[in-house]
Amino acid sequence: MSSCLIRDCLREETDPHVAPASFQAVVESDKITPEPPFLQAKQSQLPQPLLVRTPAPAPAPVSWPFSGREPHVRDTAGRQSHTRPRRDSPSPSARVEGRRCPGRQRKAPPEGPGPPEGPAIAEGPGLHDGRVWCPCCGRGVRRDGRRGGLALLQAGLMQHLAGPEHRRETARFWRENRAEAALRERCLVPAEEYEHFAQALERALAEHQQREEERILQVASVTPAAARPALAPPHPQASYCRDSPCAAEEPGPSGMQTGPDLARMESGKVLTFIGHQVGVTGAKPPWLIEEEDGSQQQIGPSYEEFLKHSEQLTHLLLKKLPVERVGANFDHTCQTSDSWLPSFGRVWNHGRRWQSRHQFRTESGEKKKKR
Amino acid sequence: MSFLLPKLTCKREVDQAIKSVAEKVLVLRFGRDNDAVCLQLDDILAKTAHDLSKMAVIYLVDVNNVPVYTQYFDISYIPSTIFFFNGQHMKVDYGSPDHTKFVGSFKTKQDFIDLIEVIYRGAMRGKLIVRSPIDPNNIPKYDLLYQEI
Repeated sequence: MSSCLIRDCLREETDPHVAPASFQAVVESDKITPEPPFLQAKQSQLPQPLLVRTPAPAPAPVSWPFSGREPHVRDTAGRQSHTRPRRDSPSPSARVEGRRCPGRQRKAPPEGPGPPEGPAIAEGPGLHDGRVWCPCCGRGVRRDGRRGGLALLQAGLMQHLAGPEHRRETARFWRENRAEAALRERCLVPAEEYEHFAQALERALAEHQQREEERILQVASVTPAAARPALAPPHPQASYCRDSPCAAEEPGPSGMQTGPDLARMESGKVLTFIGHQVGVTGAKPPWLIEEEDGSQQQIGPSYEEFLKHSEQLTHLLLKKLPVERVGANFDHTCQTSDSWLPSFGRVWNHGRRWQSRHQFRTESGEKKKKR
Repeated sequence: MSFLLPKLTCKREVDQAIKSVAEKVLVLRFGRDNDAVCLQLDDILAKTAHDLSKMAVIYLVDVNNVPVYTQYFDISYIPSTIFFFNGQHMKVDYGSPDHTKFVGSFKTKQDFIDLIEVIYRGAMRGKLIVRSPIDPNNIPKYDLLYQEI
């Protein structure tokens, strides 16, 4: 089953401390590089250890290639492909490949924007909140450790796995599910290995601190100290004025250059500089400039189109009305004479309603004749 | 409130209104603008005109201007309100002697709204005469004059 896969993982292992039961990250065998823990020397990936400053979008750190916790219970021949033995981590030369295990995603509860697949791990808001479900303990475990503003990737999980509570729960879990006792050790992290891990963590932290300080100093030397407080409007002329008095002490790059540099530094990302725009000149706003507009195009529908459209709407409405309504077949547009009278059932009527007109005309005719 | 509602001044306009209003109840108030009860009725009509705008169209007609219709519709008391739908006259049984028109003013706006709705529904079902939902106590009483033929 996984023995061949384990062998693949162990091929580049140089540290003899690695426990025989190692956990493998992914079914697709990852590259294993014999590097100090948590650090990647590859240039393609940004050289940042697992310590990341949140929420700054720092480059990809190392992440522990932990798989989801899957105790090897109910091992049947058919299901072997699903099991993923855990890789033993805390050795100094452990794998640092930052590939996430797809099974892990299945197991872990939904964390904000999870890290994507692939060698480069993105950071961001999901870091501190990521949790992993531990089936033995039956609860979610915070995956990353916290140190100030930094997230120590996978440290929380490591701590949990090495702790006594987990040990107890794992034993109980094994007992209850009657799993193979030999496999139980693979779910635990021995204490001394956790010690190694913790020490390596401290070392990495110190190194990170040092690197940060160096970076700050470097940045500080580039820019003139006076211009740094007024970073928001990097107006070239203003920086020029400030440059001249302190030109003696600073190695004095021109103010123009500091503009883009400052923007670059402060935002952390690279903003595309498209050139300084001339300020307010009092000219006409562009939307009022219409002299060069040749074609006189009217926007909107023309009058005929509007009439057609409204007729369409009324036609649709009429279709919806009940057919048996009063006056459904009344012709609204017929031209009538001046002496037209509506169909009105009169009060003193002899006969049907439609004869009321006739009666009225007769009456009025009689009256006229009488006079 | 007669300045809030549209007016029809001659027979031709009344004809035009009767012929052209489609799929809505046409309400014609026959009366005089300065009559006391007419003012009361006009007030109610004006206030409800907007709410009923999808069901009814309301016009005011001065009886002095249209003698033909005053005779044809047998208007003896003012105000008299006559209802049309699609050019057809709608009769309403108010519990009063005359079913062809509503004589007098309404007591409340709700009475008028209910009446319009009943007329509208009846018209949609093809009924030329409907029964008024207004409480008979609220309907003005009058004596129908027998007209000698």
